[in-house]
Amino acid sequence: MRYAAVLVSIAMLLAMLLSLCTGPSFDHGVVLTLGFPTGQILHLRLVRLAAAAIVGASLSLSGILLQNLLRNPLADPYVLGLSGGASLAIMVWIFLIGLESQAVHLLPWESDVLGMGHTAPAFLGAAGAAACCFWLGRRTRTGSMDPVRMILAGVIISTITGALMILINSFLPAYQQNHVYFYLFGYISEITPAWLLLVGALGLAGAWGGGLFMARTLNIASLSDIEAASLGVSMQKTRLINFLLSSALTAISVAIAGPIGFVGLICPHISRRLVGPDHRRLLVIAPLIGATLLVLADLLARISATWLNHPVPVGVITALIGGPLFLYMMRNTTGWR
Amino acid sequence: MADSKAHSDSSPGGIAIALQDVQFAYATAPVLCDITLSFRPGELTCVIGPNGSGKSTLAGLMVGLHTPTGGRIEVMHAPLATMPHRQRARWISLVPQRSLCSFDFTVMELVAMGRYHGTGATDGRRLPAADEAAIEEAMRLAGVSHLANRLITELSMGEQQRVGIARMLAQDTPVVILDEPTASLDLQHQLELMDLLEAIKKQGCCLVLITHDLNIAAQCADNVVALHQGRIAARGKPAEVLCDKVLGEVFGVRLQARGDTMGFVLNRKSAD
Repeated sequence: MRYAAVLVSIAMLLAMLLSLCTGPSFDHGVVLTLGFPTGQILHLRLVRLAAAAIVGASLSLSGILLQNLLRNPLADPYVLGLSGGASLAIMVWIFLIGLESQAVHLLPWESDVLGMGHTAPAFLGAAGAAACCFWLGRRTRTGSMDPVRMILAGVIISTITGALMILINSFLPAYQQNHVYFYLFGYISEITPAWLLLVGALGLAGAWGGGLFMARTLNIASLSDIEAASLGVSMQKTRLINFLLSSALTAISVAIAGPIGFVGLICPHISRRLVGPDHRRLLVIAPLIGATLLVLADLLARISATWLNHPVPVGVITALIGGPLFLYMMRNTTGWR
Repeated sequence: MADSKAHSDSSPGGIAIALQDVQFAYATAPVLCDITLSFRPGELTCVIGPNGSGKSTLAGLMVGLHTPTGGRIEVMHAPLATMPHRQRARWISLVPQRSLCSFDFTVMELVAMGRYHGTGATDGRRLPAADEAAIEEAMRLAGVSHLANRLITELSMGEQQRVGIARMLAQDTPVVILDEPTASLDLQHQLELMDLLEAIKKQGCCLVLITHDLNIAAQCADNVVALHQGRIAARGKPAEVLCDKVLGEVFGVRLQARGDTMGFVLNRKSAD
């Protein structure tokens, strides 16, 4: 475990350093350069790096909590529609604020009202989608959870929220549609405001600490309801805390970068392969892996953008790499470690 | 187990767990009605009944998974409904019919979960030495020591069942509920389990065994409770309950008791 934690930490730091040192230079046309940046460029890259690390860690942690909640290794905030719910809530928020103020909001955080920005609607959206998913996924007779039904409910919620977002997008002014389009695919920006990063970092730290504190309870919650009850775990309380933490983590990631798929699915699997399913170890490793992977994915997105001379959403990179990787892992795994 | 001797002393009045007029329903469908039962320390009670008669729901009520819609359950004369979850787990343990685990825990990790009730909020820390010793002993008694580092998903059903038994032993409670514990076990392990249950019963443990195996009920039980459509159809000593008339009513088939030993032969002819 210690070796794994040290190795993953080193990998994360190297990924961060690589990300800081790589980027386009505009001195002689747009070319990719390698070297430690200074001044404004360093500031912009640091912001983007922090955003990617917070979003990656949040998604990974959220994935672990949701997989535990559903006792299903296929659960993640994207599949279950939590990301979709949060994104839709933000879209509605932008739309309503835009209608009211006639203002131009190119990116979600420009619609900062009440000093809370859009993190509150994102949380409500994620929690609303999770509540729908749990309600639809319950067996009607006994009221117990049916994981397969829940995943199907999540897929349908994702589809509906996706359709509604495209619908709302069509009502927005043309200059705004392109930005929203990027946001819908998951986009990490170097102009993410500092307060949003601070809210994200604090939320992540709180949820991470909370998760670690209840790690042994989460281990027992992986068993059936009757076993968990007989071993001394209140499933009602555990589910509620798990539900709130995973919704908050999804809200953080969506508020910063929009819906990003596969990170919440892949990172728990990689972590289980490294340290097994015990949450005392898993919850230490998984957020670090999530941060590493998203920092690398964002680096790839920036490199691609330099080559293509056009911004590339990081969600496209995670889907293109994460999807096939997940299929490979699925085929080569006997049990879900 | 180490402190099982204390089990028999810890139940004033000699009743380990008592159910008084317990009712339970899922939404509007009643599952259990008017269940009044008591289980004593040092006794093994078998609960029998056809599928859907409410046996497993009864186990769920006794471990606090379900809350009765009527009546009350007391453990050692304390109401179960208001008891904190960890305290409840110090009194009652359960061996489930089938352990459902979606993730690859090792046998050792699963058995260690039996000590969750005693360790407070020590998440993330190593278990105390006494807990480590209890886990080792439980695995030895259940015959799964050699599987300690194996993944649960790689084991056969019978081995998984024995891991559940080891976890119950590690939990070390005065009341033990076993839901079909012999269903996946081969003959040798069935006999070993019955010997083990006999040993912990002698130490003052109250055992509730939910089973379809009438031969086990006849040979090992001190009392038998027969459930039928959510109600108690009969209860008493094995000889009183396991008779042609009661079994015909409860299961809808005819069974013949063999004279020499208390064994049963299933008669193909349906009861009238």
